[in-house]
Amino acid sequence: MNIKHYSKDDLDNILSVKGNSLYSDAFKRLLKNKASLTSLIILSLITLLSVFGPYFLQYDFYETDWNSIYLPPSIESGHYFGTDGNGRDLFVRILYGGRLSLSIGIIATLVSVIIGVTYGTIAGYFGGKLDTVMMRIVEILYAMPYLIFVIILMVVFGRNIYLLFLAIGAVEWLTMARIVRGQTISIKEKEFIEASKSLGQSSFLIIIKHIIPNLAGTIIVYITLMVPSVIILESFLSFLGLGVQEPLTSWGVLISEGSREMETAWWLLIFPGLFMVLTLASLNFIGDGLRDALDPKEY
Amino acid sequence: MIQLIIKRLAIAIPTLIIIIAFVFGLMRVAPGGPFTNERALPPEIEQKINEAYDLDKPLIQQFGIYLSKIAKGDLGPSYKYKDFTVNELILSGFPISLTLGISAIIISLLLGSLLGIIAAIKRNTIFDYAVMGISLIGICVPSFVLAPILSLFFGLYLGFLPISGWNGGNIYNLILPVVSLSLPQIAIISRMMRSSTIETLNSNFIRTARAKGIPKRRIITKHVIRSSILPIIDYLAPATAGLMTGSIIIEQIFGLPGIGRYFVVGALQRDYTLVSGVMILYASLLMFLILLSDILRAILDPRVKIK
Repeated sequence: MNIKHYSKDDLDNILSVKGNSLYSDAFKRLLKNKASLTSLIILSLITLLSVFGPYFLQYDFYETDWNSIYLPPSIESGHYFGTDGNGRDLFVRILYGGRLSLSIGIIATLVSVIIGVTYGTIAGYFGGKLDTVMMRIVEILYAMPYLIFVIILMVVFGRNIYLLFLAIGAVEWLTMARIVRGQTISIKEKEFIEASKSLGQSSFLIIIKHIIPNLAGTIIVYITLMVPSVIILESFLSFLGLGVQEPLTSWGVLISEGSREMETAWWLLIFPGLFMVLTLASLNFIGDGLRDALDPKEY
Repeated sequence: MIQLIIKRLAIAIPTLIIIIAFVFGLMRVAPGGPFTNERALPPEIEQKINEAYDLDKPLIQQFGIYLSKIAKGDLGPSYKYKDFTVNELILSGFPISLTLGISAIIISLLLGSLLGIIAAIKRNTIFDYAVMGISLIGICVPSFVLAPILSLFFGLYLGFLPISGWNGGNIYNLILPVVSLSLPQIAIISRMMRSSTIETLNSNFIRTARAKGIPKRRIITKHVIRSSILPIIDYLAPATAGLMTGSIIIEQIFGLPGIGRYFVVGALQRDYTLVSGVMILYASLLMFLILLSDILRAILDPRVKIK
């Protein structure tokens, strides 16, 4: 008999080696994807600039200066992206707009994820008639011009920013519900769910403890793809004058102002547009990259 | 086939009524009516107005009156444009929005699926990358950014195209709005078409067709497209919904007097009947399109049983 004896140090060494979890593996794969990595850097830069940038700039976003109306972008004047018709610095306004657009993107997405995941798991897990009815409802709502509902909601209940979060979240959950349902149906057939059922676990706990954690990857991917569509939706409303109100600003508001004044001041349209497009493109690339990274079969 | 249509209608009509009820309810819950002014009217006159517009009756009765009028094709008088009925307003805007919408949807379907198919056949070539790159731009640049930039460039700097106005449906006035309206849809459709064509190309029946020695061109026109177009047909109704909301913005940007503009103006001014009228028009159009895409699907896909 040849028994290998491990010293305490050996044991510590063995125990200290950590296995790679699915998510750390996926993250490594994501960083190897050049498009995603670049997007991740750009997005972090825009986020950091929006959150902290305004503290380091000499101008305030509501500060009007009648001596510097429609200044074109220049480094000497300190207005790197120029000024608008009220002499306000465009750069700092874009950063403030970014705060709002990004936070609407995140909060409204969370609202829709909560609704969508609850709806989707229930429909998928219980199946049968309930599923048919629930999915029929989604199908009908899916074909609705839901933005028109949001417009009506905003008109009826006033232009309240919290309502905006809710209203957007309340219409964006459909895709999430569909995807979550499909995944739930395939997960609930797996053996571990059966094992859990035979142990007498309640449906509610099976959904919370076993199904939702297994959906996490899919949910993360769709969050990154949903944030851009929410940002577009908010900008769309602001463009029509139904979203964020002055003196607050968002990218949509800036773009809408810019498009009205583009003949005299092109920078008012181009720079906010650029920030928004960069953010949307980055989020899309990260979403695509995450989808590949979380699904190693594709490689 | 007729059974399919009847079945779909049985779903569509209650849905429409629910939508009408929803819009009707929301507009009534809204604080402030169309005749609420800062200077209050004398109560007698206010009562007369309310009577004339049936606003003094109970809500359920108002809804009943409204529904029966809609069934007769009467959307009622506009509350804000005093001399017009909603029908007249919609009729004046509808041809414009319809021209815009139909041109956009035809262009995006044709161009989107064509680009998608070619990209799938020439997978991983420069053409494929170019199409996917352009479609990424189409997805990331929202129409309200794209439209002003296009009109800045082609209208103001180059002076090729007029940047606003309808001008009696002049084709030059149409180009910019239609392009900015259809580009996002082209992007989505070409991506969808590309991935579904790739999937079809890899499927067994195509391999069989190839093994039988059918020429490649014929395989694609006869077998591949018929199967890979199905997701696009399902996407027809959502695409139209996208175009409707898109046209609200595009009509605003290019100053076109279509129904999208009436909708926004109506919503901002609490013109109940106008908003509900436009909403009902949109919803019925969509229901019609869902029906149409179901029928098309049944024709194209023999696996769908016509029950």
